[in-house]
Amino acid sequence: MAVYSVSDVTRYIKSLLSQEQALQHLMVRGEISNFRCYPSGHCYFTLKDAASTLKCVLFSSRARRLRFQPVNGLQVVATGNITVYEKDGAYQLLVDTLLPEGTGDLALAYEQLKEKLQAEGLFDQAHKQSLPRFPRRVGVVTSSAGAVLRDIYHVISHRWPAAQIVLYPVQVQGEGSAEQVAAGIEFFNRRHREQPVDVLIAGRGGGSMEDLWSFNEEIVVRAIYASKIPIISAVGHETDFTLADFAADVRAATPSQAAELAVPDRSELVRYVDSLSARLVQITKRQLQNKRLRLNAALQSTALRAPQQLLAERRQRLDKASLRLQQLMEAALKQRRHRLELALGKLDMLSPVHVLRRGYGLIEHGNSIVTSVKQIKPGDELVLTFKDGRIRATAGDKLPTLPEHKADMRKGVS
Amino acid sequence: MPRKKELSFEESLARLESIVAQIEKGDTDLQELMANYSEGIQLSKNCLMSLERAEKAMDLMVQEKDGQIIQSELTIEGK
Repeated sequence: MAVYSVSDVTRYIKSLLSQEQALQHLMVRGEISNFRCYPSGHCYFTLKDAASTLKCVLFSSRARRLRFQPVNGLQVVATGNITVYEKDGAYQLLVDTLLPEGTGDLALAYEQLKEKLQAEGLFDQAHKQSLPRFPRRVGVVTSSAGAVLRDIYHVISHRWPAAQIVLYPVQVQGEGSAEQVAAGIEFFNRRHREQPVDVLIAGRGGGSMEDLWSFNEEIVVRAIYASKIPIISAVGHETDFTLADFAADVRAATPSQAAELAVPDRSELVRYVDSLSARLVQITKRQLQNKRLRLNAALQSTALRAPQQLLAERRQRLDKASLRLQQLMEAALKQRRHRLELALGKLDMLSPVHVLRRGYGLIEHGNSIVTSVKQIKPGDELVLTFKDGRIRATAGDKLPTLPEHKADMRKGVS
Repeated sequence: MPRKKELSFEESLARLESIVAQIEKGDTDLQELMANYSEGIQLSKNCLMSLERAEKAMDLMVQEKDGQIIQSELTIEGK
């Protein structure tokens, strides 16, 4: 009986197993345990069920492609080939793909990536940019064929025809589509000088989670986050959000809605401008009315009225004063006239004429009035003046003095 | 305010909005009020005119090959 080396036996078993078709590309269901990854990127774990365990190896090239992070206790379906690890003399499953059982692996991957990017701040509201009000150029990253571009075109040409659509055509599903979408977003940012756009729409029509998957890929989410141009995500799915939606500045449920968000509505703007000019007219009228009211109020105020009033008052005072002056003058004049009249009356009484009227006569001798007998000698020429004329007379002899004259004579001639 | 160049639609609209807001504050004198008013009316006319004049721009498709931008007119299927 031949004696074999350990290596010979192991190699023989290995060759047997590798020829067994049933052990190639098989799928194995089990629960992950003892999962560990090494710095090399290779991962090792054990799949187990109630009765057995199976060693598994996940090389780094495969591990990198996983859309979720395997953890202990997770029920998975592993695809791969059974091989023998000669050094340990143990068979193991070389894992090609690993899918979580129950939950789809996409859903799991989605949750895991979402958590990771959220922790990094890629979905932060503070990072969101606001959309331009009146974009001239709208960059679109989507498929050149299909309803999405047509929907966007129709909405934009209806609402805001002045806006120019700049399409960067990409595949939106399948192998390499995520990279293309990310490249499109990156293109508009990098070549902004040559192809400037004011806003970006990145999206695709609705579909299954697998169809939409490129918009859940990290490369797309990061491109959206890094974009300096505001981005509207438009993945045609009303209910579910893609990770692109979370990272976008604005999320639209459909491509049509994205276009509506991207450009203003012309007829709405016409109404808006109309309302602005109507308001302009209205408030200007109101302002004018206010100013008129204020002017009137000011005119009514004493402050402005005062000069006129003051003038009137002064005029009135002047009128009064001049009237008083006139009255005083008249009174004074009257008084003087009266006094004059009195004086004249007295004067009249004293006047020789008045005396003559009473029957007295005036005797002149030479040029002087004769008031005494002693001024006259008999034979002197005298002139006698009466009230109605003068007459010459010649003085005769002296007569004896009348008794009533004696007192006078004693007083006057001592 | 004298204007050197013609304002774009968005500039006109922004100016119109600020004029309306300014008049609404009501602290302008009569001369300024009337100047603002006539400028505002002119601006709203300009805005409406540019809205009516707006024509569909030619849409583009751009691609990048070896660092060169290839630009062509965008044709929409079934438009």
